[in-house]
This record gives sequence, C-alpha cells and structure tokens, in this order.
Amino acid sequence: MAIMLVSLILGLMLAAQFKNVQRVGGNVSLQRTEELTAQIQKLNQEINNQQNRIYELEQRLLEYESVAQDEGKMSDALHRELERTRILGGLVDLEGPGIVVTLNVISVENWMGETGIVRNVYYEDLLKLVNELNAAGAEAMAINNERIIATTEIRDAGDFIVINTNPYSVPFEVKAIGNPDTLEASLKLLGGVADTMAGELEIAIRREDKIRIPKYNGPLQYQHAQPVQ
Amino acid sequence: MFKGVKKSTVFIAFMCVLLGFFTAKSFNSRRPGTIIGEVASISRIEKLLKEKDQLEARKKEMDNRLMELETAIEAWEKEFALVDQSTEDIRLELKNARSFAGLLPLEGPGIEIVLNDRQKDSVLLSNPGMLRFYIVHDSDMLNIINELRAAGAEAISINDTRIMANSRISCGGPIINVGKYQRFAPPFIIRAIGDPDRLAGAFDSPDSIYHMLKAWGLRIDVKRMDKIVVPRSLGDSDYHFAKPVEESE
Repeated sequence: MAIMLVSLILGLMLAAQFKNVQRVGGNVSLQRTEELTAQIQKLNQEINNQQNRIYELEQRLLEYESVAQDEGKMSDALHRELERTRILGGLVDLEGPGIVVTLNVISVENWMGETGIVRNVYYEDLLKLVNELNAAGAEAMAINNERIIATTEIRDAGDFIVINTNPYSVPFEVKAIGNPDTLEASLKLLGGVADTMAGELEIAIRREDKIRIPKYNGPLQYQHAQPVQ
Repeated sequence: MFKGVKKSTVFIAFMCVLLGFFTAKSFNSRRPGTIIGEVASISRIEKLLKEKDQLEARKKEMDNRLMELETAIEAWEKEFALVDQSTEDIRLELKNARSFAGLLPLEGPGIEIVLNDRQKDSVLLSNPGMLRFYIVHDSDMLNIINELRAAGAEAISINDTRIMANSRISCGGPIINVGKYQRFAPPFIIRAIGDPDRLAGAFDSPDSIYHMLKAWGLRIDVKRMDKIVVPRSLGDSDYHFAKPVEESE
C-alpha cells in the first residue's frame, strides 16, 4: 500500500517537475539573451563614442604641445578650448535638424455658450515630453526658447510653468535638435506622449531642417558645488 | 483472469503503469526543438556574458585613458596660465565651463535620498493587483529630480551616474534606465549638491511627490549632508546633428 502511494506521488511530481523546468528555463534564457545583446550593442556604441573623444583629446594635446614654445599662441589655444567646452555646457547657440512640438489648450463651448478649455498644460506634460525626446537621442532642447540644461526645472507656479526660473504659459513650443525621424517617431508611438495628450491638448509636431536653439541665459556660477580637488 | 493474484500486486502494477504514463508524458512534452534551443541558449548566454565583460573592461580602459589625457591637458593649461594674467583668467573660465558641462566631479553640501520599493508586508502581499502603487517608477524619479532642480540643485546623480540635460530616465521593466547606458534596480541613491535645507525643504511643499510616495509606503529617506561628491559625466553628450551657430551672423 505504501509503495503504491509513493509511486503515484513520484510519478506526479516527476511530470510536474519536467513541465516546470521546461517553461521557466526556456523563457528566461531567451529574455536574458535579448537583454545581453542589447547591452552589448550599447557598449559597442559607447566605446565608439569614447574612441572619438579620445582622438579629439589627443589632437588637443598635440595642439597644446605645439603652442608651448610660442607665448602669443597660448591664449588662442585656450580660447578655442573654452569655446568647445561652452558648447558642451549649453552656453552656445546651436542649430541643426530636428522637430518643433507646439502644445496648446483646446477651447470648447458648453451648452450655455460659455467657452472653456478641456484642460490646461501641466508641467508633467512638458517633463514627459522632454524626457521622451531625450530617450530618442535629442542633443539640445528648448521650451519657449529657454534652453534645457542639467539644472533646468519645469515646475508649476500658480497659472504659470516655471522653466529656468522664468514663468511661461500656453502656447508652449518645444524645440529639439536630433534625428528628426527618431524624435518624431518616439512621440507618435502608439500610446506614446502625443497619443495620450491628443484630445485633451492641441499638439502639433513639425520637422525642420534647421532649428536654432538659444544658449542658456541664467547664472553661470555655482554657489555650493566645487570641483573635487 | 486475476484469480490467484494478490489484490495488492494488481494495484502496484496499476501504479507502475500510471508512473510510466506520466514519465512518458513529461518527456513527450519536451519537444526536440525546445531542448536544442535551451541547450544552445545557455552556451550562448555564457558567450554573451564573456563578450560583455570584455567590452566593459575595454570601456573602463578607455575611460582611464580619457582622464589621463584630460590631466595632461590641464597640466599644460596650468603652465600656460603662468605666462600672464589674461591666460590665467581664461583658464579659470575654462574650469568653470567644464564644471558646467559636467566634465568635472563636484563636491559640496547637499542631500542624499535613498528611495526603495515598499517593504514586503501583509498589505502588499494581500493586494497583488495593487503592486504597481508600491514600487518606484521612472515618473517618480523624474519628479524627484525635477523638484531638486527647482530647489536649486547644482549637480545631481542617481546611483553615481551624473544627471545631465540630456539624461533620460525611463522604465525598463523591473529596472530603471538612467542616462544612455545605465540600468539600475532599487534601492536608488540620489545625491544633490545645493543648500541642504532648501533641497530637503522642497519635499515639505504640499504638492511634492514625497507625500504620495510616503502614503503608498515606499521607503524614502532624506539625509542632509555637509559634503557629498557627485561624479562627472562620462560620455553622455555627443553632438552629431547640432552645430554651433557662428557668432558672426
């Protein structure tokens, strides 16, 4: 009797076990392979970029070494380096291809003939838009000509949205330099930002060959942060 | 037919048939295709892991080379600055521009935030359908960073990755993507340099996301610090499409 029971249980467990192993093992390894492939792709891309950066720095070093004998040329070399760094910090106007997104409210008339709006533009709309464009590889961005830099906030303040400490209200114009195809596709994605806003806000996306994005105009000195010695 | 055979023997025979059936069934359901795929992918994963390790080591090497070059360049600049006051002025301006562009690690007073999902407890386990309210989302992180910026943060990092103008924060399933190449799982450590009281005070504001996160039981600890270090950005900003506008226009 005992042997029978044991055999039965053993048989059932064996069957269950095999099924489980197969299901879990199969899916996980497939997912993991995809994940790893994506990571490797990104690493390759990053190494490529890093190679370019190293090449640039080597050129810079050569340039410095060549001017080291000539005092007159030193300040020129430093000036050129300063210009290049200012570009990275968002302190220079940039231009290039990209997209311009305009956001506005939709006016509606109710049964009494009063006009109202479906809803206002919230700061989160802009925050998501900027983040989405960043994910799509935007290189420089501005909202209502306010350059987006590392410390730019987008916050509600009463009826306004504050960007770089300056208040703005509708309509909002978001400019982004980058690959126009990728940028546009990232917003028009099914269920993407443009999709969820449509109906509540008026959103228009326009590609342009040449967009100009102004430099950052705020204070250029940190109060608290200092380079690590 | 079964005369003279013990009842229990019949039973055992029956059980053996049953056992055989299940064994056969489980073998059967492992189609040849699946077995090959599984074996192949395990060796493939090992290969990919090895490749990833090699690439990461290569990247590290290049990062080091990059910083070596930067040190050499800075040494020249210091030498140039000895020539006269005007070159020294440019050098200081250059240093300022570099910290602005995220090319230098920065230190100063600020706050450290440790953000984590809700601890596994009876509430969480009894509401599996509500799980999404109990975990940290990319949008929460985006909001926290935005609030820190509004409170005057000068430099911000998430798990030691510097947040620049073009760093995206997005959802990657169980992990959160930060910047172009980093992927993190909780806990998230956010560091921000700025006035500690102002930064921590941002979360007291009634419309701060802090209250909502707390209400759902997420773990969020804010610590004021006299000195924190935020690392430099290593290669998030590259311009392929954008060109500087010539000032002569």
